[in-house]
Amino acid sequence: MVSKDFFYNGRKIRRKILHYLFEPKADLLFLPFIIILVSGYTYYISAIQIPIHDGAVYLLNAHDWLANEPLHSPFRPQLISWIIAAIWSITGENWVIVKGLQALFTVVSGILLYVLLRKYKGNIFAFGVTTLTMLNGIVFYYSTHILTEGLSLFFLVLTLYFLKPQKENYWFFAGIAMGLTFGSRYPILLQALTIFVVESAINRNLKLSMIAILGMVSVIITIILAVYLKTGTFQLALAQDTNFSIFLSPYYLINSLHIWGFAFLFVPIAFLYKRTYTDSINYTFIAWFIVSMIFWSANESNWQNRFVIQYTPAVYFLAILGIEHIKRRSCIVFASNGNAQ
Amino acid sequence: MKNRNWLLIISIITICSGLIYPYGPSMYFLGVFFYRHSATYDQSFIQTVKNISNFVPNNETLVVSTASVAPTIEYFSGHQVQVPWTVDFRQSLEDYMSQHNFTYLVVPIILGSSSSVEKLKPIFSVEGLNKLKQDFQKIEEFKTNSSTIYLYKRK
Repeated sequence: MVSKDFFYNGRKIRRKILHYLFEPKADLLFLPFIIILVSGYTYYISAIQIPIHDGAVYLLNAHDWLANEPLHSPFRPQLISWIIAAIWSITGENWVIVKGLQALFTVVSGILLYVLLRKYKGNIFAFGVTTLTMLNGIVFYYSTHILTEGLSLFFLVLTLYFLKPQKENYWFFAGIAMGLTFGSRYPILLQALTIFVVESAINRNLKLSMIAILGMVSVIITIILAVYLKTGTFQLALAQDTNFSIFLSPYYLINSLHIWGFAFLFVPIAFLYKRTYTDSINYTFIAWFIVSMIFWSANESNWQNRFVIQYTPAVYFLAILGIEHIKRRSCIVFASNGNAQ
Repeated sequence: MKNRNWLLIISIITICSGLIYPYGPSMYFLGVFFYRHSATYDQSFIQTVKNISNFVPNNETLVVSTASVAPTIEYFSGHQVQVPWTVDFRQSLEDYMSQHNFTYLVVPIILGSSSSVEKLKPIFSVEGLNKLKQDFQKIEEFKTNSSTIYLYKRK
């Protein structure tokens, strides 16, 4: 008769072998994935012959900054126009040169996301979240144009990247990243602040938090001053986009499969398991997802699929978390005993 | 344990099948193939817009019938652009342009549509463009791969 120990040791050995064989391969797969992703962006961006509406606006603003002319659209976030103007100050004004600018930021945000999650969740988890995010059609499509979605996603991920280590200079850079998130796309500051608040609550280090706030405030003041001195005013958004209601729109839930695909089905599953709430690493992504979903759903009239790009990593994090719980036979929240179900 | 492995496999299959789900986000990848005829992928559009400047004096503002390409026309033509948002049955296009001292009108017909603004569509429809002849002189007609761009001058 075979003993229980035999089966238990066999399972333990099997798990170790799988870990040894499979985990490092996620690292080996990531580089080719990035190469294929960059190739895909190159193909799609090279096919584009004219900038879309908002892209042309950012180009006009960049031209106005460079030529010291009145801004075409002062209410638009100016960071991407500043970056374009800085590039043009070296290369000369040519919109073709900056066609791939936003894609560059999106790809680098994917690399940052992988490096960050790999450290805290393992290679496979990080690979799953990163590939789902980068291969999301909406993230990809809007990153091929001269827009601000990919730029703000980059600074948001950078914020989280700098907030994880408990080092003063890192938290200062995190504050700067939060400020630049604001400069790239004003409403996304809320998501950056959400991440900051949760990480501050986890770390409970007032000094670090104050350092981050200092970095953030200094950048935000600089951005507001620059726009104010140029235009005589500073506007966060158009009036029609600032109508919010406590009655949340179901738009993003109804269109969740269209926006995030079938992976979204696993997001509610993540919330069913106890392990989701015991691991502090998850808190940031839970808050990121919930706050972002509520914020964009609270807008009375302006709902667009591209507004979800910045919190798509949080969505796929929770989706992969749900699958991980299923795999690990974790305890569900409402289990009557502590044994695995 | 076998049940858990099956659940994991089903999870992975579910996510991968989302890649071919016709109403999923993966459909955004197909835009470059299905919308090749749109202005976004039109190689001749920018040069055509630049050519408009040859017929319009410097410092003249262009009134453009559609908001979708108005910033693009403004950037590549080098002229300021206005979209006649306030024009409706109460105020004619000619009155609007006369009031603001605008002389030149640009009407891009992109994939059969002359305006992205709903209330301007009747004004720039085929019938509307025929009526424009009373107050506007057609200076030039430009053809691109995805559009026809009419340039008018107020009489």
